[in-house]
Order: sequence, then C-alpha cells, then structure tokens
Amino acid sequence: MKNGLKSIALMGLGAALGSTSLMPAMAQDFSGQTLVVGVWGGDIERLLRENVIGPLEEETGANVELLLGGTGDRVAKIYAERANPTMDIAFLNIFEAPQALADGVVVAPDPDLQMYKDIWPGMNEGCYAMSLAALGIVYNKDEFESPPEWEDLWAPELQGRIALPPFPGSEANGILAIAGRLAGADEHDADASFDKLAELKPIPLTYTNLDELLLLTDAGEIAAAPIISGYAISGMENYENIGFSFPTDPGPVLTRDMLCLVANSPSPELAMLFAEKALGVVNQTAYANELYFGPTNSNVELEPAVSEMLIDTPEEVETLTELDWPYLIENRSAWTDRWNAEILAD
Amino acid sequence: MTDHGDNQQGRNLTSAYLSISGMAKAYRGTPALKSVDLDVNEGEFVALLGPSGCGKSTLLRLVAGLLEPDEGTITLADQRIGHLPAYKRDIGLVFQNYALFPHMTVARNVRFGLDMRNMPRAEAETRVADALALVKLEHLAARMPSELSGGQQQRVALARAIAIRPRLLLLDEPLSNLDAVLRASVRTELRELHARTGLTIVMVTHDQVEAMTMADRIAVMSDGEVLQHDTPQQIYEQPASDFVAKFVGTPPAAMLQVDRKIDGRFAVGDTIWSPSPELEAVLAPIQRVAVALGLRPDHLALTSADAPHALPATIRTVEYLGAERLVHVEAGGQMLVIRLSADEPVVTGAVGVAIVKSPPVFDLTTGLRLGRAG
Amino acid sequence: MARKSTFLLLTPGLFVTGAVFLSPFAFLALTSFWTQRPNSLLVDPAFTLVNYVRIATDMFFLRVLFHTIYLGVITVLVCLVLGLPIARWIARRAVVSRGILVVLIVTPMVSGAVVQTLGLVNLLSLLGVINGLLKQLGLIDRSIRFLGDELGVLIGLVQAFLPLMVLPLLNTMSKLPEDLESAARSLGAPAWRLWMLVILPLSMPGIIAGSVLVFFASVTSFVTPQILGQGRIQTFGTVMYQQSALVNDWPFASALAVTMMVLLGGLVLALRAIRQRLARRSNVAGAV
Ligand SMILES: Nc1ncnc2c1ncn2[C@@H]1O[C@H](COP(=O)(O)OP(=O)(O)O)[C@@H](O)[C@H]1O
Ligand SMILES: [Mg+2]
Repeated sequence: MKNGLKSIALMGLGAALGSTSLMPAMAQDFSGQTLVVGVWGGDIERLLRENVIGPLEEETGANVELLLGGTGDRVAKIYAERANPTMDIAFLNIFEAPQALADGVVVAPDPDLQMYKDIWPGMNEGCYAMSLAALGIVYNKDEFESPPEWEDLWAPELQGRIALPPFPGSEANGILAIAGRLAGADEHDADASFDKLAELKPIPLTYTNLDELLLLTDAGEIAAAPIISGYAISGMENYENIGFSFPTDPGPVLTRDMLCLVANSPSPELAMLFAEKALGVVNQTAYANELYFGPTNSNVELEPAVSEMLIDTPEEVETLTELDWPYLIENRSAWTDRWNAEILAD
Repeated sequence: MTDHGDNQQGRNLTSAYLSISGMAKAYRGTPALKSVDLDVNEGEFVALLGPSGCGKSTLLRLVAGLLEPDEGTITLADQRIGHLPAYKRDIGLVFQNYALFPHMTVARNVRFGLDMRNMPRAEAETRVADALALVKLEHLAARMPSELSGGQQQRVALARAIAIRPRLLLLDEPLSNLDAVLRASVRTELRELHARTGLTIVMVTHDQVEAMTMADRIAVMSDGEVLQHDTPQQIYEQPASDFVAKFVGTPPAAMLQVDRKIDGRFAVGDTIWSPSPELEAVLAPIQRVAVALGLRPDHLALTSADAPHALPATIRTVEYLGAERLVHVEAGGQMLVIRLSADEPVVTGAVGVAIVKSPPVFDLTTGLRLGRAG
Repeated sequence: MARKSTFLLLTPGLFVTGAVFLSPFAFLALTSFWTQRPNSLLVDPAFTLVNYVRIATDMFFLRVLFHTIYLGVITVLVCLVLGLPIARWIARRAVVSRGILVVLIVTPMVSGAVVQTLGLVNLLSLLGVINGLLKQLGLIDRSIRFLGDELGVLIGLVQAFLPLMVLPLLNTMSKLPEDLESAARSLGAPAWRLWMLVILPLSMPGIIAGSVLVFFASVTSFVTPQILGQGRIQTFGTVMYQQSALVNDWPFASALAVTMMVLLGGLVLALRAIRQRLARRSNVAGAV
C-alpha cells in the first residue's frame, strides 16, 4: 500500500520532469530492502558479518537482518510460515535440509548455477552445502595413548565416562549409526545400533554446550565424546589435555551445514547474492582458517597446516562414513522414544 | 482504707504473690521500662494505670513471658519464673483485641489451653462449659469468633484465659474496644468475676475511671516507671506526685503555683495571698521559693472576694452536669475548678476561692510530694 | 447489576487476554489433533486422537508425566519446609527491613531462570565451586556428580521457585496478628503446637497459593531440568522441547502441552472446589 502510493507519486514526478528516470537503474540496487537470514550466533555470525553481510550491504544498499538461534527454531519458522515466509535464508544441517526440500519449504539447489558447480559434487543434498565437518572423537589425552578409534569408546574401563549429544540430530544419529556398524550392521538396523550404543551406559552427560564438554574432558571427568569437528577443534586450542581423533574404522561420519534458500521468500534475488558470497572462496577460507570448517567450494586453497585439521578434499570425503540421512530423518520420532528409553534411562 | 493499704504494703515486703523487681526493658536502645518494682498480693486486683506508651503492656508481656527482660526478676507464688517460657507459666492473658483464634469455634478457643495440657476430653468439656457459663456465653459455644459481637468476643477471650485456671490473670486494656454502655457493664462483670474466682488479676488501662472503680490497688505508671502503687483512695487523696494528681480524678487536680516572697508572705501570680492557718502550717516548714498545690474541686469553695484567706478570682465558665456544676475560675493567672451543687447560687463578677481542706504540696521542678501531712 | 457492570469493565481485558493468550492456545489445542505426514515435517490437518492415544499408552510418556509431577510435589514440599520459616522470619521484621528482604528475594527471580540455573551449574558441576572446594580440602579425588540427577534438578527447582512460595506466605503471615501467637503461647502451646494449631492453619491461603504457584512453575519448567538434568532427567518440559525443537513433531508436542495444561486446569478446579467446600463447612459450623 505504502509502496504503491510512493511509486504512483514517483511516476507522476517522473512524468512532470519529462520522463527522465530519477533513479540510476542499477540492477544491483536493493536500497531499502531487507534480507532476513536465520543462522547460529557466535563465530559463524561474526564471520558472516565480516565476509558476507558487510560487502553485500555495501554493494547493494540492502539491509541484512540476522535471526540468531538453533536450527530447531528455524525449521519451525520456515514450516510455520511456508505460505507467507519472512525468512529468506535459513542455515540448516544435513539432518534437516533434505526433508525441508522434500516438504517444499526450501528451493532446490540449481545445478546450472556457477555456485552449485563450484561445490564438490554430491554435497548439495537438499540445500547448498556450506561447510563440511565430520563426526569424530574429542578425548582426554591421558586416557588414550593414541587417537582413539570408535571401538575404543567401548573400553570397559571408560564405561560411564562417555558423553553423548542430544537426540535427534546429526551428531546423535551419527554415533548411533557408528554403533550399528561396530555391531556388524549399519544405520538401517535400529536394534543393533541401539543395543550397541546402550553398552556405553550410564551416560554421564548429554552435552549441549561445547565449552562445558571441553572443560570436563580436559579435566578427565569425561573421557571422550563423539563430536563434530570444526567447532570442537577450534575450541580445543584452549585446552592442553584434549585431542581430536578422526577414526578410520569406520571413518568419521560426514556431516554438513547447509545453506537453504527459503521457498517463496520475500527477497529471492538478494538471497541469491548472499548465497554466492557465503559459499564463495573468501568466506569459506575464513570458515576454514578460523573455525576448521571444511570448505565445500572446490576453489578454496588452504595452508597445509589448516588443511590437515579438516575435511577439504574429495579424497578425504571418500574416507568418511556417509549415512542415509533421509532414512534417519524418517525414523527420528520413533528413535527418539527409543533413545529416551534405552540410552538415557538408567 | 488507709489502714488496709498500709497493711498490704507491710505484707508485700515479706512475701508478695507476684513480685517484680528491677524489671527493665529497652526496644533497640530506647528504654520502655526503667527498673520497675511491683508487688501484687494473692487474690488482689491491681490496675496498671498510665498514659499510652508508658510501658504498661511491656510490663504485662514481661510477666507473661512473651518478652525477655533486659534486667530484673519475677517471682510468682514463691517461684522464680523469669527463665520459664511463656507456655510453661500458667498465666492467663486477655488481649485488647481479644486475639481469638479465628479458625476455631468458641468452644475450641476456650478448650485450647486445656488441650495444651492434654486434659481428658470429658474433663475439658466440663471446664469449657463452666468457663463459658461464668461469662454467660454457653449458648454461643459452636459459633465462630467472626460471628460474635465485640463484647462477646471479649468474654470468650476471658473464658479462654480462665479455663486454664491460671495462677495469674493479665488483662491488657480489656475494655478499650467496647462502647461506653458495654464498658460500664463489663466493668462490674469483671469485678464480680474477680470476686467469684478469687483470681489474682493485673489489668492494664489508660482510663483512670476504670482503674479507680475496679482495682484494689493501682500502680500509676509514667515513662517506664511506677510512680505510685496504692489503693484508689490513697492515689486520689495522697498522690505521690503532681503527675498522679493530674492523671487521676474527674476533673483532674489543678496545680496552683504559690510563690513565697522574701518577706515570708505568699503570692499567687501577682496577688499577695494569706493562706488559712492550717494551710500555712503545712506550707511553713517547706523551704522552697515556690511550690504547687494540687487542688481538686473538693479542696475548694466559692466565697466572696473579700472573705478572709480567700484567693481573689474571676469566673470563666460554668459546666452544668445535672446534679452539680463545675465552676472554672481564674486566680492569679491560673485556672481552678470548683464544684457547686445544682441549687447553689453562682456569684458573679469578682469572687473569692477558699481552700477548705489541706491539699497535697508538690515540688515545682521534680513534681514530687512535699511535707507530707500525716 | 454489580456483576454485569464488572463484566463490562472487564471486556477490554478479556479481549486482550483472548487475543494474546487464548488464540495461541486454541491453535495449540487444534494442532494437537493433527498429525505429521509420514516422511515429512508437514502437518496433516485431519482430526485424529493418535497423539493423545500415544501419550496415554506409551509408558515412557506416562512415566515422564509421573516423574514430572513427583518432582513438582517434592519441590513444593521442600519449598514449604524452607519457605515457612523464611516467610515467618521476614514477616516478623519491621516494615522497612521487610521491604528490603522482599526485594532481595525477588531479585534473583527477575534475572530469569537461565542465569540462575547457570549460576547453579557453576556451583554444582563436576568442575564447579563445591567440587573444587572439596578437592582443595582433600576430601575427594574425583568430582561428585550433583548435576544430571534428581538432586541437582531439585536444588535448581527449589532455588528458582522458592520466591513463589515465600511471597504468598509472607503476604498471609504478615497479616497474622502477633497477639494470636502470644495468646497461644500463654495458653501453654510450645513452638510446635503453635505452628500446627495456629500458624499453619491460618497461613493456609498462602500455603495453597504458594504451593500451586511452585507446583505449576516446576512441572512446566524446562530450563532448569534441561540444564541441571544434563539430558538424564526427563520432564514434560524437556520432552516437549525434544519433540518440538529436535524431532520437529509439533502436533505431538502440542498434545503434550495440552495434556499438561488440562491436568493443571483440572487441579485448579479441584482446589477451588475443595476451598469452597471448606468455606461452606466453616459457615455451616458457625451458623449452628
Ligand atoms: N515491639 C516494639 N518495638 C519497639 N518499640 C516498642 C515495641 N513495643 C512497644 N514499644 C515502645 O515501648 C514503649 C512502651 O510501649 P507499651 O508497653 O506498649 O506502652 P503502653 O502499653 O503503656 O501503651 C512505647 O514507646 C512503644 O512505642
Ligand atoms: Mg498497651
């Protein structure tokens, strides 16, 4: 309504001035528009502001508004608002993105776009792959002579000292799947997976806070915990007694943060520009150097020291355990009940 | 009466039933009681009389054990009770606002103290009935306190305190929440109750009429101290200080300042005055430049201005009280009250005031009684 | 007449209440009769009772429900035991210092559950202040687990909601005439009988109000059991969170929420009926 009036007024003014255009008709001018991005707060927010939002606002004149929070909030929001979305971009993880696409609340990644092509093949499941990470093991160095394998978490002397992530989620589903594989099956065999994981009981801590987990692991109260690389590795630098292991048998579970374009969002073009920058070399290099998040963009080149700490090549991805995420998502409700009853209950 | 009072005082010295000595209490550094001594005989009805805030309730609570004294001892029936908690003292207490338990029936209220003593039910019920009969409230036993009038509540409170057969009954302003009519009747009821039960009663009041009409003896208090402890008549006729004289009696005693000139003559204000020989005999031995005479209406009579020994005075107002009139006169710049019967003619204009009975004499500064006559 | 005009005066308030409170609740209630489509996070808006059947038949949810209520009851009891002497102590202060104490009691509540709970984590965690102290004193080698079990959650609930108990208690207790206690004591009541026969019965309105508040707050709390329970203690709050934010099964989470609200609403009605009956009984007793 307001905009309508304004444009009518402008048209009248334009006519009065002899139909010379008042505004420089730059294709990239989004002055007055606001792009709404849902993302995690903290380091990720900071890097996005530095490498994506700052330059984007400067080039387009648009305003980027961040809605900080966990993915649960964002999933709830984009589903609830799917008839009339207010969010343009939602950062989700691999546990949620394929489902969101299947339900039509996000736009399918477009294989014809350059930014799609720049990303390692096979990574854009549901949404654009933003960063690669792997579920490995954070551990107390006094407890293990060498970086532990998955099987080592089941050592009898460590019983009751292995922390777990909350269920459902990529971490919790990841370790459940690993348990299934150690039991000679895989993630499709829920009974085998749960039985094996239940051997770790009692679970001393369901961690929701990285600092708390690292603190307790450093102090030896927690011996080890499955956790996603990246954050854990960057956070670990402050602690002497903590190591991070990428196990080999099976390999770490591949997880990804995904950048999703919300379907029917208010500012799709701006969202596209944001996505290009977020997935671009500059931002992904910063993600890698500062957060040890593996780049998905094949053009990113990293220092060897950094490269060693993260997943950044197709060859490395080859060694990772890839899970049937749609299957896990499908079973999340039933398995949540099982997790509550079989893993958490004493 | 005087003999009787002296007699009691004599007994007090040896073994009073309730004996309070050196009792002192301060609230956060502000003294409310300053070393009070008080003896009460068995079966006696004593009134603690004094203006509001003088420490009467404080004294009562100390006796009941509801407050800890800073100093002093309490003996009840030859037993030191200062160390006993309130609930072991067996002292009945009736509060100004009755303090009935609002969630219990009248009967339950009265039975409360008996239940605390684990009295068998049947016996307790009898006691409750007796106590309620004593205050004529048998028919209201099942009521809740909120369904009673103020006077009824007061009597329940009384019954509740009496039911435990207390060694001592303390009443804190028992009549002050009642209307004037009720007050008069409850006054007599309390006296009767005292007579019937033989209880030793200490009653707090700020109303001198109450104290005068009800008590065997009155302890007049002011500012945390007991000024005089005596029979009502002694208190009235022989006040120990100007405070007592002014606090007791209707109307209260008027203070007349009398100056003694260098030449030995007396003056009231600017007027030279020659007192009667009897009064002169009282005043003569008192070596003071000025004293105060505590003059009640019955010390005074109205005469003519030129009558011998009369004080020259002017009538200001006349109060008509039915059977009598109170004549307010001004003498030497000070107000005095004279009582006239209704049929006596009131002289107008300049009059004289005769002092027909020797009044108490007080020190002007300390207010203490001087040259006690007899 | 009076009733009608009161009602008119209430209309704007009712309207706002309706808009901001009832309509989301109505939507929540409606959602609870829907389901999530298979293999989708989308909702299937066809009326069904499956969510409620699931709650009523799955031992897990019933157990969590009972455990939540159990925690609520224990929290109420502990808050009562602590709150009664605290409230009485404050009620006996002078008006000014009473005001200061009330502010001191309310302040932590204003800071919110998260801050308070994290404070407790600092205190109780494996590397927290208490364990640190015990280790320094050489009393223990390995930390004692205060968190992640019932005790820790209970401590958290009590410290978070104690003010909700103390304030109504204080309200009734400061209205209790001191003379009533004096009367009871002079009649021979030692402290415990004074409490049982006079203070507690006369503080009943505060006790009931405080208990209801604390019970509601604790059975609906999420932050405290979530943080202090460390995933090991499951309450209705944490399960609702799990179902809505992690599983994304909003219809089922709604059904859980509605179940809890209906139970609490029923409790309120029951309490009201009991109170009315009590009031009527004492009236009848009085009228005889
Ligand atoms: N609980 C109390 N705290 C502080 N001061 C008090 C308290 N009770 C009484 N007082 C003070 O002590 C003095 C005596 O009080 P009280 O014994 O109640 O007097 P009375 O009963 O003669 O009116 C008064 O000045 C009163 O203000
Ligand atoms: Mg008093």
